[in-house]
Amino acid sequence: MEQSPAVKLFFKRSNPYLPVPMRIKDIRVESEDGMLKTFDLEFVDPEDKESFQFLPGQFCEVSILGKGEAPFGIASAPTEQDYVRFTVNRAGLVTNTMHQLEVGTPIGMRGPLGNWYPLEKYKGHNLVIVSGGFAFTTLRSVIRWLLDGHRADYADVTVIYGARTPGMLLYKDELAEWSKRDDLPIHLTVDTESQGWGGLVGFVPTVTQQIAPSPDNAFLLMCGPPAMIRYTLPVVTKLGFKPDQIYTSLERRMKCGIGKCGRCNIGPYYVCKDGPVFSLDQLEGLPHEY
Amino acid sequence: MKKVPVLKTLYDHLSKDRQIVGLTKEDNRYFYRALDSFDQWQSNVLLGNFSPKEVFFPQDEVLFYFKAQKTILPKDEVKPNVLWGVRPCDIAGIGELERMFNQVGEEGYKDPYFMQRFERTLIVGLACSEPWPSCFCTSVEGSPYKSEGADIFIYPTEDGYLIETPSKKGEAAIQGLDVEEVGDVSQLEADRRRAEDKIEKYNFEGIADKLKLMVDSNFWDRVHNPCIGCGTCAFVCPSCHCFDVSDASRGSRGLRSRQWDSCLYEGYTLETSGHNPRPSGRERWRQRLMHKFSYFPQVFGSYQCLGCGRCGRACPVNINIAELAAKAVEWEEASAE
Repeated sequence: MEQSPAVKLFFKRSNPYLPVPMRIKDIRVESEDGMLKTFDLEFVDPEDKESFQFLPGQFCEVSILGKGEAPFGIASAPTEQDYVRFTVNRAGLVTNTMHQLEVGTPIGMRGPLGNWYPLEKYKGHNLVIVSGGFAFTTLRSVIRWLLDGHRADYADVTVIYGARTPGMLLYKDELAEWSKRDDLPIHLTVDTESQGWGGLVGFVPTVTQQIAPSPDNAFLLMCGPPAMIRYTLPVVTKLGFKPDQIYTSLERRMKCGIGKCGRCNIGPYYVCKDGPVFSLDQLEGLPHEY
Repeated sequence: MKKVPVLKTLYDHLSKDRQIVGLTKEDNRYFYRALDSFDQWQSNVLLGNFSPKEVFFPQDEVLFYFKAQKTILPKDEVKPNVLWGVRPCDIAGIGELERMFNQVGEEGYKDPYFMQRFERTLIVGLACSEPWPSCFCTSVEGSPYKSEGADIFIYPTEDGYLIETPSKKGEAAIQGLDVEEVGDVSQLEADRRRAEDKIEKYNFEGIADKLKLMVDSNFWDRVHNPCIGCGTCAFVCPSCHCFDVSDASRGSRGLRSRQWDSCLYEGYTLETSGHNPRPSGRERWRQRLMHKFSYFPQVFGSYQCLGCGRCGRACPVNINIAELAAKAVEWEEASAE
C-alpha cells in the first residue's frame, strides 16, 4: 500500500494466533459514566517487550482465555516503553470481562497489528487532528509521540477534540497539561453547556467550521463516531482538504487480525492488515461498509 | 510422459509410506477422507460434496489449548499424505488458499496450521474426461486437463493412464515406479479439447473492472432476494477461507478454535454496538460476488472461483454464481451503453 514504509512492523511470533502473556499494570476509570476504562498492560517476558515495536495507529487483539479477543487501538506512544495502553468501552463479552479485572491480573495480547499513520510522510507539514468521543485513543498516541521529541519535525499542529460532556473526554489530566503548551493549539468542545466548563460548546463539525484549519501544506487526521465523521467530512472538504490529505482509522468486527478470517474487508483491503489507517482517496469508489 | 496400464500400480507405490486421502462414500455423499484400500476410492465420481480444502483447513480446528494462562499447541499429528485423484478446479482452489495463507513479509502473515498440512501433502491430480453439467472451469481460466499445481497428474487414456509430474516433489515420489515411457502424447490435446467442449462457457470478460464500477448499482437490489443466507455455498467452496474464532472453557482449562464461517451470515460483520456494515443480503451478496470476481483478482491476480459448480449444486434455492456473474457483466455493459 501507498503509505507503507519499507519496514513493516508486524507481529513477530511464528504462530500469529498465540497471544503474548501480559499483566495488568494499571487501571483507571476514564469517563464519568464508568463505561470507559484505561488499561496499562506490561509484558511478562522481557523478550516479548524487546520485540514489541509499533507506530501510532496500530492496534492489538487483547485476549482473555475462555472468553475471546477484541481489537483495540494502542493509546500509548512508542516512546512510552513501560506499558501498552488501551482504553476500553464496556460493550460485549470480552470488554465486560476486562472491566471486572484487577491490577496484577494476567491477560493476553497479540500485536502490533495493522498499519499506522504515515508520520514519516507528514514530516514538515501542518497536522490537524480532529476527534470525537473515545475514538481519540490512537490520536493520543500520535500526540504523545509528537511531544516526545518529534514535534520539531512538523509545522503547526492543531487539535480539535469533542465529547458529549466534559466528563466523557479521555485523558483529562493530559489534555489540561497540553492546553498550557504554546506549540499545540488544542480546542476542546462538549455537546452542551455544562457547569464549570470553560471550553467550547458545540458539535465537532461546527467547531471545526469555526476554527477553520487551513488545508495548505496540511494533513488531517480524523477519528470519531460515524455521525461525527459524516458531518465533519463536508466541512473539511469545504475548507479545501482533498481526499489524499485526510486520514482516518476504521473499525470493523475482527477475529484473526491478520487478514485470514475474511470479515473486515472494504473492497480489496482488509481493515486489520491493510488498515486500520486509510486516506480517504483509498476508500473512494469502494463500498461504504464501515 | 510415463504410462501405467492400471492406476492401482501408482496407488500402491505411493501408499507404501504415505496415507492416501481420496473420495470416499459416506451415506450417499462423497468426502475426501483417508482410504484403507484402492477399492474404497470412488473413482467414478468427479467431485466430493465438500471440496478437499478440509484436508488442509478442517471445518473445526483447535488453535491452542490453555490451562490457566499457559497456552499449549495441539500435538503435531499431521502425517505425510497423498491427496489422491483430485480435479484441476480443486487443485486451483488449494493453490489459492495457499497463496492467501502463506503471505510473507509485507504481504501479510503465514498461517502455520494450514501450511503444515499443505507442506506434508502430495497432490495427485486427475484430468476430467467427463465433466459435469454444473462445471464452468473454462470460464475462470481453468481446464479439465490443467495439471498446474499438482505434484503428479494423471490423464486417463483408452488403454491406460499417462502420468505427468509437474513438480520435483512429484517426480521424486514416483521414483522406482514401474512405468512405460511414452514419447507421443499428441492425443492428449484432442482429449483436452473434447472435454473442454462439454463445459458450458460464460462470458466474464473484464468482470473484475466492471464490478468495480457496480458498487452502487441497482443490480444488487434484487439478486440476493432468493438467498436464504444458509451459507452452504461457502462451506462447499474449495477457495472460501472465512472463519470464526471461538473459545470454550471449563474452569481454568479450555481451548481456542476456529470454524468455517460465511459472508452471507448476518452476524458475520455485526458489531457489538448493533451496527452492521453489511446489513442486508444486498451488501452480503455484493461482497460475495465482488470478493470472488474483483477483490481477490485485484490482490492475487486470479479469480477466487474455480468453476467447480459445487455451490450451485448444493444451493437449496438454486442460485448459480456463474449465471449471476455473467449477468453482472451484461448489466454493466448495458448500463455503459
